[in-house]
Amino acid sequence: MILLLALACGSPSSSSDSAEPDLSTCDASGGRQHWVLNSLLFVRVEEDGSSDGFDLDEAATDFGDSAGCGIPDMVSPTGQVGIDNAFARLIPVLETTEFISAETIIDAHIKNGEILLIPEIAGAEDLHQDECVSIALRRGTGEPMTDTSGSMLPAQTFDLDPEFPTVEIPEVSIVDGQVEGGPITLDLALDILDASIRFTLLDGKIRYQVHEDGTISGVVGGGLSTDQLREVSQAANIMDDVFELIDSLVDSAADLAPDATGQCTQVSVTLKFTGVPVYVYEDAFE
Amino acid sequence: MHLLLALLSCTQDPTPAETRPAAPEVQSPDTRLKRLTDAQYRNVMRDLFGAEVVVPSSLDPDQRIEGLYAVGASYTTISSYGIEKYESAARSIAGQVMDSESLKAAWVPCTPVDVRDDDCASQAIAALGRKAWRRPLSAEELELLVLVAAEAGLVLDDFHEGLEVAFSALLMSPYLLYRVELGDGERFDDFELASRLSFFLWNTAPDEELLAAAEAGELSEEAGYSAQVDRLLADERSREGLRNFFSEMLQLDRLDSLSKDPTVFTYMSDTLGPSAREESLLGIEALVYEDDASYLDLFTTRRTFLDRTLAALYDVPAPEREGFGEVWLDIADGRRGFLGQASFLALQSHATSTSPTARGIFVREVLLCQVIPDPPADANTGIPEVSRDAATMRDRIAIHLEDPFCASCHVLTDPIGLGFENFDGIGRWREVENDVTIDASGELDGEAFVDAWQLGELIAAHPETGPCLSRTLLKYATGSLSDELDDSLQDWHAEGFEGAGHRVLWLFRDVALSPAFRTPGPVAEDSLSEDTGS
Repeated sequence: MILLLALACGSPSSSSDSAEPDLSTCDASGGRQHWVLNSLLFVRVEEDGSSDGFDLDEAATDFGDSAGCGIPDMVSPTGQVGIDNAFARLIPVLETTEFISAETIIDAHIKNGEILLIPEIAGAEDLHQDECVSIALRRGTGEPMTDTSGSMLPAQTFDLDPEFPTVEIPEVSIVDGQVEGGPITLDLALDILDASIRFTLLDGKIRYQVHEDGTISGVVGGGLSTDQLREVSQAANIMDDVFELIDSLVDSAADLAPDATGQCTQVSVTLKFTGVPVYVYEDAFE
Repeated sequence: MHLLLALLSCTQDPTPAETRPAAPEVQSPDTRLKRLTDAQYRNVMRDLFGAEVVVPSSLDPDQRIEGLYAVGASYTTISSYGIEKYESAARSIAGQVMDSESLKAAWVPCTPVDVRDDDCASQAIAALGRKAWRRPLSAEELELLVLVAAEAGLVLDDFHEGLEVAFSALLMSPYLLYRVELGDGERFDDFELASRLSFFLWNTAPDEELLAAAEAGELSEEAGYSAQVDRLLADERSREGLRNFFSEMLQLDRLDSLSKDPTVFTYMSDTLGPSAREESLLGIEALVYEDDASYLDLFTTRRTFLDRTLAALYDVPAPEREGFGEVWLDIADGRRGFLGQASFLALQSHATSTSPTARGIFVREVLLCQVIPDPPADANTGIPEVSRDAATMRDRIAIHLEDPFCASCHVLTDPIGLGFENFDGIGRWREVENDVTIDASGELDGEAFVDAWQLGELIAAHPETGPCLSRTLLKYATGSLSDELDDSLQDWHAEGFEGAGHRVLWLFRDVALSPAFRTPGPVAEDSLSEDTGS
C-alpha cells in the first residue's frame, strides 16, 4: 500500500533554542539510539489560541505584514512567538470534509508499522545532556511487531532502507533531554486504494524530547506547497464544492515561500509524533 | 555472597572419572515393552521414507511419568483410538511410498514378473521389515507377509498394490510401534542393544551400520559395543537425542501450545513459544557440543541464542535478520542462563501472571530431583487479587507462608520462585509491578540471594544439581521409575559425572555403558498384556 516514503535533508544546521553547542568540546563519541514513530498527527490550535511548531521563516508576523503574506504567526504553548503553523487554522474546516481522512490514514500506517520512520541520535553519552550529537531521520524496513491494539512494540530490531537518502544533522546538542535540528525535508507518499497522496514538508525542522521511560515525543514542521495540497484534495476524490472550498482556503492560508509576485506558495504545517525505542541491525550502516 | 557460593561448593574434591571404582553389582530395573513416543515414531518414518512423507499430525498422545515421556512409554500402551490412528497412518504412508517413483524404486529393488511375484515381494518386505522392526524378520513372519502381498495383489490385480498392503501391515505392527527389548533374563541380544542405543542416543531407529554391527554380533563384545557408543555420540544425529532428552526433562515440548493473555503480556505471539524452545535447545547444544562445558554452566552463562522475536522480548538488538544468532547478554543484564530464558519463565507461569510457586516447584522437582507434595484436594489455590496493600506477587502470595497449613510446602517453593519476579509471565524484565519496586530476594536451602542472577549461581553450586541430571538421564535411558533404579548405581553415575566436570556427553556415554542400560532385569508381569498387541 505504501509505495514510497522519502526523506532528504538540506544543508545541515542546528538550532536549539536554549543552548548553542560548544564545538571546541564536540566529541561525538557514543553509540546510536533509535526510535520508531508510533503516532503522527497534525498539530491543532489549542483552546487558548496557542499552537506548537517552529518559527520557520525566522520572522514574527502579524495580520497584514508583507512577511508571511499577511498571515499572523502563532504563539507556542511555552510562549515562543513567531510560530508558523497556518495549517492548524484550516483543520476545523477540513475536519468537515474527506480531506482530513488523509491524517487518519497516515497515522494508522505509522501506528501499525507500514511506515517506519526512525529518528536517530548518534554520539550521545547522555541522552539528557550532551553538547555534541548528530541527529537523523531514517526509514526502516522489516516486519513490525505490534500488540493486540496494533501499536508498535518497543525494542524490536529493524533494517534500514538502503534506497532512502539520509543526511545526518551534526553538531546538535541535547538539553534537558531535548534535541532540535534542521533543515529537513520530509516526504510522505502513500497509495491509498486508487488515490496517491503525497505530503512533502519543505525546509522543515524537527524537535523531540527523550523521556525517562525511553520513549520520545516531539514535532516536525515545514512548508506544504499549495499545489500539493490541491493535488491531495483531488486525489482524495472529494466532491467539487468541497474542492473549491479547499482551493480557496489554501491560497488564503499560504504563509511561506513567497514567489516573485509576493504570493506565498507554501502553507506552514506542524505534525506531532511519539516514538518508542528500537534497535537497528549494526551492519545496516555499512 | 561469594563466600556463600564458595562454601556451597566446598565439598570433597570429586574423584576423577577415570579412577572411579567399578560399577556396583546390582539388579537392573524391570524390563518392559516401550511404545515409541510420538517423536520417535516420526523420526523412524522420516528415516525410512524421507522428510517429504506426510505423517498425520495427531497420533496417540504421549504421557509423562516422573516428568519424562521416556518413562511414560514404559508404562502406557496404545489406546484403541490410537491403534486406529496408527493404522490409518500406516496405510497413508504405504500409499505414499507406492505413489512415489523414487520411494518405490528405493524399497522395491526388483521388477515383478507378474501380479504375483513372491521372490520380488520377499526382497522388498525383508528389506523394509529389517529397518522398521530393527531386526531381521523371521522366516515365518516373512512368509506370512509375502502371502498377504500375494493375495492382495491378486485381488487388486496389481503387484505393487498388493505389496502396499503388506507394507501397511509392517508399519502398523506392534514390532514397529513398540520397542521389543526384553532380553532373555541375562542379556539383551545384539539387535535389542542396537535399538536401545539408537533410541537413547539418536531418538530414532538404528542406522544400517549399527544393524550390521548387531548382525555381526559385535555389540555382544565390549570393544564393539563401546565403538558403536562412541560412533553414535560423535554423529550429528546425537544432537537429536540430546535435544529430545532436555526437551522432555525441561518440558520444552509444552511451548508449542503456550497460551498467555496478550493484553497482559504484549509481547506474546504465536511464535514466542517455539522460539523460546529453540533458544533453550540451541544453548544446550552449544554448551554440550561446541564447548564440552559443565552442565552447571547452563545456569550462569551469559551466552544465548535469539531470533528477532526473543531479542525484542529481552530488549537487545536482534543478532540476525532471519533465524537465530548468538548473543552475549550484557554484564549488567539481570538475565542469566536457562532460568533467565523465556522457556522456563513462561511455562512456569499462569496465563495472566507469574507463578512463584510453579517456578519454585520446577527448580525443586526438575533441577534438584526433590519431591514436592501435591496440594490437598480441597486447598484453595487461587491467588488474592491486586490491592493497595498487596501490589506485588510477593505480597499477594504472602498468605502461603503465613498460614501454617500452606507454609509446610510453600516454604520450599515460593522463596525460590520469588527470585524470578523481575521477569513477568513470559520472561520480560521488569523493575516494578503495579508501581512498586520488585523485591526478588529469597533463599535456597538456607542460602540467601538478592536476585535471579545470584539464584542461578546457587543452583549451579547446589550439591543436588549435578546428581539430579545424572539420575534423570538414567531414568530416560532405561525408561524406569526412580525407585526401580538402585541408589548405589545412581550414586555411582553421579560421582562419575562430577568427576568428569559435569560434561553432558560424558554422562550420556557413561549411561550407555551402564549395567542398568545394557543388562535386562526381569520382565515386568504387567508389561505383556493383550493391549500391547504382543
